[in-house]
Amino acid sequence: MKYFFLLLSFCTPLWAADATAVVKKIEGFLAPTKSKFTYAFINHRTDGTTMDYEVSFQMKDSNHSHGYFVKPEREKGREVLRLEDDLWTYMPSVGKAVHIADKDSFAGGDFSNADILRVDWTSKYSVTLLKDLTNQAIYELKAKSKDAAYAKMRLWVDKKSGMPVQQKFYDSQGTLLKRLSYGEVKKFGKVERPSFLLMENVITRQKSELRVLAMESPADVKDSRFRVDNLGK
Amino acid sequence: MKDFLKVAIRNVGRNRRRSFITIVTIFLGVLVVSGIRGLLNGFQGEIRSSLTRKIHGDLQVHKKGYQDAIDNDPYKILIPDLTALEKQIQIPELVASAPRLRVFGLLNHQKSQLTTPVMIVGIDSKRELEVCPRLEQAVQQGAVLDSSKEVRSQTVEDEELEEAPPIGSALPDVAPKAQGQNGIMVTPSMMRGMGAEIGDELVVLIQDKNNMQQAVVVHLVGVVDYAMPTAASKIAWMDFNTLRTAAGLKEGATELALRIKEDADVNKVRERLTEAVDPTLVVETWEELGGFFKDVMGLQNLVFSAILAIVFTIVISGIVNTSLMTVMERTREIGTLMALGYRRRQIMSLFLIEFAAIGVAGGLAGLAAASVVLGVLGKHGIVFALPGQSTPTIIYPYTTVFFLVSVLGLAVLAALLAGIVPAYRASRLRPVEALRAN
Repeated sequence: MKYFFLLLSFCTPLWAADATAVVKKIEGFLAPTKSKFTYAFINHRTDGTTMDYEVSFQMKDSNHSHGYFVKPEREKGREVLRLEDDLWTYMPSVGKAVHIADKDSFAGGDFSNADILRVDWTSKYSVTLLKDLTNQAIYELKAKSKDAAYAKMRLWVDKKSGMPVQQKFYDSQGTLLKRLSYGEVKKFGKVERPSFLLMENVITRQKSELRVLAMESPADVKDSRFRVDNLGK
Repeated sequence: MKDFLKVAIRNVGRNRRRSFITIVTIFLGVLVVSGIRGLLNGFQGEIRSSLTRKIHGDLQVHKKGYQDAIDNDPYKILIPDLTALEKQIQIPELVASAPRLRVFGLLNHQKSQLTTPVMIVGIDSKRELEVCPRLEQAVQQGAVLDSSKEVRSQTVEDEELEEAPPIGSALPDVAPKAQGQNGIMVTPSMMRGMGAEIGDELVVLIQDKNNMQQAVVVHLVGVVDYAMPTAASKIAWMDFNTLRTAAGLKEGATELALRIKEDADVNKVRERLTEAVDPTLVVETWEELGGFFKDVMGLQNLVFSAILAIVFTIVISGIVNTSLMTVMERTREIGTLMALGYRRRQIMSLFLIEFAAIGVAGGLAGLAAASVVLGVLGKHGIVFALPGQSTPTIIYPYTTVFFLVSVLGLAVLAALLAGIVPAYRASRLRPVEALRAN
């Protein structure tokens, strides 16, 4: 009998495993500790115009991340820093670091600062399996702390690969605010992850693309990078 | 004394031309002063009516620090227990009260996809109209939002839980299950800026008390024009309870607007309410809330005082000349009176009574004319638009009995002041020299 249960535990598919563990695993390859990666952003406006950015990130752990704007030329040198629950942006034109909020837009697009710099959902949200479908499982992430960026999120996960497919963000009334689609799974070193993310704002109908250009994990990440007084240096 | 009065008044009639000129001078002075005051009364009445019956209410109860925090963190200055407050303010002068909730947010117009920052005011339409009935007149297009038609719950939680569509597939509608009747009213400039029309779908985005983003789907039901030069252009009104729910609040409001009886003294009521409410709350009058207009009215009253002083001086200067001429022309008459045994004091009184009679005649004529003019204008109103106003204002000039009596008193005083020197000179004449004069 005990062999039966042992066998059963090995056969337990990913989607049926502990919901929090599934989401934690996704966090692990979307924003691995001690990693460096370069993202290209394209913000599409409803008037047809686009804005392109390229940002290099360094991540020490889930509480420490830093971004440096490489492109366009006008934004070069701009920095963003996350230290625990505090977010800062450094503007080279004025040489000052300014405190910003999780919910503020990242680089004027549809991703929020939290979407980019705070991929530690399991610490801010309680996770439950909402529905088990044929190929995908839907997990619901409900905010458990007041400083969470969204009241609720739903995450669609491919049961076979464990990759996120889609994520939806809601307010506490249940109104859908944004939809994030994941695609183009690629291998960066030992890490396999979606390399294309499309964030669509359901209200403003604007969208922003994120493309992972490079990723290195583990990487040599210096502690000095994660200090407010080192911004701009 | 009766004969004395008779002689003085007869003298007014005897010197018809001079008396007429003096009376006309006083008449014009009184007409100008009363007319200007009447217009100012109408203008200030319109300001007061707009502030009390359209915007603020007569008084408002706030948490202390409201004015400093409302633009930054409205959730910090919430009146925590509205029910308790409404019990505390039950005084006979109170006619109605209306809770409001103000939060900053964004307003997105779905058709044009324009998003603009806005101050959102949550109102309970029925109670709001009891406190500010002129809000209805301020609605240029559409109608006042109806709180009784609001959809209480908006949810998409029961959306189809199906497998995710491929990347780039059509976006779902905003809150597809929430196509309800939640209404919103905006200012004309916001409506023009977004290119919105009545019935259009808009999305209100706010940060709730926990700083989480919340969205409410609403439909444009009305366009409100306060027609006040300093009225905020980026303001929108939606249902109090809908906004409060979206803000994650079960209780509380940022303000409680009050309407009191028309004849009640707003400052006395404020004192009573201040004693009655919780010490963490503050009661403010419409004058304090509309500080700019209080200053405007103060300046107007100051300018009016200056005009009054100028007109008073002009009138006195005009009368002094004719009064002096009157005395000089009647030197022999004064000598005769003195020869008949009139005392100097009586001569002076005779002239002063004569000038007072002229003042009363000119003053009454001026007041009668001013009353007729103000009565006609007060009935039909004067239409004019101030800079910054998108719709014209109608002002109804009026005056008060107290003011009219005061102006009459001033007219008599002016006539007496103008006549005091000539009358004194007449009383100082020596009878023999006066009789010898040509």
